[in-house]
Amino acid sequence: MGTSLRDLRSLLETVLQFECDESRSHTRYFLRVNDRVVAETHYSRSWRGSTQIDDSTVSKQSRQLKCSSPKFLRRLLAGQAGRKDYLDDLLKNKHISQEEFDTLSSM
Amino acid sequence: MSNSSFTPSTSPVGPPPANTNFQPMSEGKGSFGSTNKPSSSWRKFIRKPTKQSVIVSVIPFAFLERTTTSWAGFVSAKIFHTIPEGYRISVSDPDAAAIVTRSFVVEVSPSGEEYIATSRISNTYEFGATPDQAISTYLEFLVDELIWLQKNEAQLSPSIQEDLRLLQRYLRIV
Repeated sequence: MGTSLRDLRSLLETVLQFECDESRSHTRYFLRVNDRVVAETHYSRSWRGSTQIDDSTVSKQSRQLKCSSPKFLRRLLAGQAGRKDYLDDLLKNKHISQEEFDTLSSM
Repeated sequence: MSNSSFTPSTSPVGPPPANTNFQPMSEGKGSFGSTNKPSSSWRKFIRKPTKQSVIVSVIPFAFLERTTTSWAGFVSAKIFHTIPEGYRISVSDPDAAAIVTRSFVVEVSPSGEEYIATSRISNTYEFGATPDQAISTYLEFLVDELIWLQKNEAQLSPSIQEDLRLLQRYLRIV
């Protein structure tokens, strides 16, 4: 199943609750907890809502988002995994502390 | 992409830096062989890079034609561009510039109806309608990324700080 920019934006904004910074020339999303940025990503300014995102780009984005694998990001994009799974993944791979996990989980 | 075609650049061309290790292309998509030890058959395409040029390394068309095994292999071919030390990247929004403090290679490959530019100095990427446009927007984004990361440096998690350190090894805002 293909992934579109619309899917990515929905994941970042609605599911993972990333903050969006559109003040610069590129649209950037980041996840902040206790004043600490723990993940960030962007999308190309040439993209439109229906733009399909290929595997190599998903792979890059998974590294930006600190996902354990591109496959996991695919699951997130497909709605087969949610925010809790993402936070678990970040905690498991030590990208966030237990305290940060608890804070993010309660939001 | 039905209309994609690579035209050999007329810019000076040269081999990738000695410290660059390219990943082999995926199975079934052809291979350029060892990029660090070019075969004599395409040495004739190589010229010494100059600091004035951005595009200094292009896999020649003829070489691709001889070594790829299928048309699909050809259209999937990647282009490697070395960004030389001392090159200045200027952006207008925000008005800023960066100097390349260590040369690095930008990899460009077809992606849908566009080209995607990436490199090993960052997890970022950018697209363009042509390979040159992809490289140009990618370099601009690297500057934007560096500015953003430096501005938020105190708030970055250790792993994102590592991303910043890597970028700072190759670019410096001036």
